[in-house]
Amino acid sequence: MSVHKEVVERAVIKRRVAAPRERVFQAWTEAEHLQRWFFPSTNGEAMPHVEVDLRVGGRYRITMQAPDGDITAMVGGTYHEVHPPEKLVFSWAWEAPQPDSAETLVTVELHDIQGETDIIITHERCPGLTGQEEHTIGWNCSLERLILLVQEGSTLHASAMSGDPCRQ
Amino acid sequence: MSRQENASRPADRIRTHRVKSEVVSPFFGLTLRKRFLILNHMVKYTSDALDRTFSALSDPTRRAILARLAQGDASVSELAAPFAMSLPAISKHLRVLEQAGLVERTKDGRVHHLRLVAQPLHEAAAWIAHYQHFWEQQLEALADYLRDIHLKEESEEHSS
Repeated sequence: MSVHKEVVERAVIKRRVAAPRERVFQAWTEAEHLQRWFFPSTNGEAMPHVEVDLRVGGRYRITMQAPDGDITAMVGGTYHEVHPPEKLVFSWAWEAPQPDSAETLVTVELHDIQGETDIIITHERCPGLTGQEEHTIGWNCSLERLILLVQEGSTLHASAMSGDPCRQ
Repeated sequence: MSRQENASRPADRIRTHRVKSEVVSPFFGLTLRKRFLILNHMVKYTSDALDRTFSALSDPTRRAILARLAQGDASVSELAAPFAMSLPAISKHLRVLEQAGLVERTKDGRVHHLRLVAQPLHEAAAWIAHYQHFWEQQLEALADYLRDIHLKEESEEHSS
């Protein structure tokens, strides 16, 4: 049971793909693309149903259904940052088969490397996103959210706020 | 991992959940069902403890303290030495780590010794490793998809 020299607190995944980043951004943000690769389907399992409302405060939801209509998996969240074609930040929570008790945060960065694209995904568990309990440890995320709100200014509509996981 | 061996283990709940398809995906190795069950088991049943752990880990000084304690036990002043920080500031970080169950303190006269409790770190590492694996597989699928649509476009160009 050894501990590494460096203690990490988030998952970071990097990968280069042979496609321009505009196309990669489309693949991440347009329903007709997402349903072709996110949860790849095989052997009779239908393509996932994808809902995307691509704006800060907008929601996404990806649903996998078995041929008999049963929901086998469902994940969803709220867009926190949308910067085409270079960055996307969204919250993440499984709704099925077992709902998460707290949302986590996913950042997707796209870097142009001479026509190809480096994708960097950061997935972190931000305690401030916790839905109902443990408010004492929510400060960091609340502050980040506040800064985000100030930066986004009037582009964030009041209706979008209702889906904000950090709103207490 | 006594938490997973006790009677409240939620395996029965998971088994009875409405998940019917057992589809083997060439991209994922595991069946989709298994992947989601593993993920949700882990996330759901240790979430409060995980939140405390990740909250404690959110600070670079605290991560450095833990990395130092992984090399061996240390006194408060030994821990403070590498940092340009006052003892009270270090003590504050240590209290956060103690509350998260990541550090234990013993007193030897006036000297306080700190010891790493690795178990919560291993649980946090498991969460990280799980998503690492999940996103690597997702990106594999994305790369395949992007290649497919590129090839399709090329063949359409040739045929037109």
